[in-house]
Amino acid sequence: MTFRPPYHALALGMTVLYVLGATNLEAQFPGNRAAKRAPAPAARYPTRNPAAAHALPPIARVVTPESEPNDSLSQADQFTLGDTVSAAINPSGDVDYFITTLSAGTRVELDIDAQVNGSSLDAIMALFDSVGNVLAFSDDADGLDSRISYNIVTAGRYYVGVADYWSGGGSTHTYILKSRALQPGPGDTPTLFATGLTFPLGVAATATGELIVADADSTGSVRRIPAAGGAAVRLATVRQPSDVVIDGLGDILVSGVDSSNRGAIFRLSAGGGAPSVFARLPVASSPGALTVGPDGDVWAYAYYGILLRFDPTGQLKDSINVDSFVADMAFSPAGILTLTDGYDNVAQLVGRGLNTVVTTAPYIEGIAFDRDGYLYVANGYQGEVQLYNSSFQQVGEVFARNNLGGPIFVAFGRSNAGAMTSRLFAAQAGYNLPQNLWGTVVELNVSGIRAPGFRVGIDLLRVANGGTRAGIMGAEFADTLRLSGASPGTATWSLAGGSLPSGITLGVNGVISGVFQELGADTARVRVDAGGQFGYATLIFTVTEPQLTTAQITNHLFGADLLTPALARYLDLQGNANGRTDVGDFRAWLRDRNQLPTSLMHQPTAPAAGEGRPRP
Amino acid sequence: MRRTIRAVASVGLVLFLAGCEDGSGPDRPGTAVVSLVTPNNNDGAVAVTLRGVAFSDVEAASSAYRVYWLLASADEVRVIVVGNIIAGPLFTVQLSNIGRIDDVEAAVTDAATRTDAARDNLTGYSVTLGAGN
Repeated sequence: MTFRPPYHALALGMTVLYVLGATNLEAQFPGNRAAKRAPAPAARYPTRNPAAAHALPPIARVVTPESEPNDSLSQADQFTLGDTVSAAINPSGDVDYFITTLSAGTRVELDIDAQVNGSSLDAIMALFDSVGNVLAFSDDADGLDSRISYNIVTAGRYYVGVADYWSGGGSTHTYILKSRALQPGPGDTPTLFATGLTFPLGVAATATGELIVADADSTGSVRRIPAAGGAAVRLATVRQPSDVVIDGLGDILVSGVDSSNRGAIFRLSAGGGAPSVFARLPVASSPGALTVGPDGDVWAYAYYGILLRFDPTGQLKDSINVDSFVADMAFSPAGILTLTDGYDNVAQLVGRGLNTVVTTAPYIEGIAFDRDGYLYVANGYQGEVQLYNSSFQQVGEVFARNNLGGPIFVAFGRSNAGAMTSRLFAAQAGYNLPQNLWGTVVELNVSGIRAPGFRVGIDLLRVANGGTRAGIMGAEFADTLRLSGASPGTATWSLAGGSLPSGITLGVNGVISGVFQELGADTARVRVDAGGQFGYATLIFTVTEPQLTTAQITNHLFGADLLTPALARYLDLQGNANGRTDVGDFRAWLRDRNQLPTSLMHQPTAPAAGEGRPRP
Repeated sequence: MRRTIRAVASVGLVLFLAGCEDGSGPDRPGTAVVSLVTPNNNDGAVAVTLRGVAFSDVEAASSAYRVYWLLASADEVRVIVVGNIIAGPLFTVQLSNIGRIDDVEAAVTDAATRTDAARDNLTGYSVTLGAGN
């Protein structure tokens, strides 16, 4: 497994890398007018990739040698789609240009074979439109070799430029340029579903059919896309959002950072409002991928190879070092956590380690299971979605390859009643795509989807009156927990974690009662089971002292002016809690306030005012 | 005039006889020292009730003690003493007539250890009163 830097570093820093790469490329492409073009927003992909491995099926080809000089657009060699050209970057600094005519709707693939054949060339390649604008760029797609696949929207002439990454060249810098029209997959052609995004890094479907997207724009946005599609609307601001998931209560969980740049998972109600903190992470960076398990537990990638598991209330349950970056994760219908490493592996968590189930071309990101355990895997760098069966064998050459450009995160849609559908959506930044597809959500061809999606997470019972409660030491307390809406059966309540305040108990009927016996704060996580469903709530108790004076206590002990039962209990709890108030309780009360006689004090204090005076 | 003198003399006689009701002569305010008798050596607080005469002004017998007191009625005072208490003088109390010190009923009504635990059994506890200086 390989560690990858955070997407935000990619989104920000790798944009710079892309610019540098593009500048480097353009420096080697004289006359290229794309030099002032803004970098593609999807420049997440490293420009160096020494370990990639991707092999196309062998195709019988007619190899045509290049015709030098072809060092500028005006000198470009003509080729026809389907041709294979043999050429060399020679001498050092040489740039080869080729020109071809392409039809609208063609998914063209341009594939350089150099290193794979033992060449010294470290190829870079770009596709230009008829006036020299860069449409697509590739550095290391297959090892050090370049490969571009691109949707041709407008019929016309297109140029291909090839150079050495290091501006080198020579007789050993040979290569072949293969071209072909790619056949669409059953999921082609994805259609535009939503716009208004910048750098989507996670997508989830709500129970009402909307999509929620973690959008790593300049401020960090959580955006909502209506069930009918259209423009995405900002729902909330979360800094450095990395992923989004709907939890068992229907709330939106977003991974991001707080104002101190500390990693956190934020919770938003589906209706919006200010995010609250679901859980804080012990790292100074945004957590990455999120998902919810079949038990309602929330899983988060916390970087440094660590997966964190939280219960539905945000309490950390486990921390597992999987020694891998995690770009996305989802539970299979068999209940196995499955993840992508953001590079070339799909793996499953077995015990506390990873078992790789798919190795493919980089860079893969989002995944989604259908109800039968078939897995859709998005590859943003290749601009593809692949389909694997439940045994992780690839189904067909490709599932979809048009109008896709990464990073890509995928999610099955839900109906407005919450049912899973066969609609598969891909949120994408738009690498190597036309600008109109940057920062969009596309819907894959529904006729090609074999089955409805597998639900992420479950529906938990919602407790209507969790939250905070204030109490006073010595005072009685009684409250009854209840569910929101109708209970699917007789509710049974239990303590799932944490602790209730001393003296307080929880009955199976949800009644919380007792007398607060200690000061302080307690957090209890309660579970409710009803009709085969379950849910959780967090109860936070804060117990404070009652108002009480020395005179009140002494008068009570003198039998002159009795305390209320609650105050008497409080006083008794100061001492040995023997069920009556006595001078020992009074002494303990004085001790707590550093009011014992001076000789008994660590820090001498003056006698209390009024002490020794008779009561009026 | 003679009648007036005779009335004053009668009132004075009545007052004299009243003041010498117990045979000890006229009221003589004074200080009593109340001392603790205890079977323990780790007392941290005691409560004492005195009855029988008019009391006033309770003061700790030691700077290491702190006293809290209440005149429950004209002839009853209730006192709490807190400190690392040892057997011996607990506090002083002003009696309206020190000559009646023997008429004072005194009792230890509560006690606690220095770790703030109430004594369940007060057997062996008592206080004694002696005339102070």
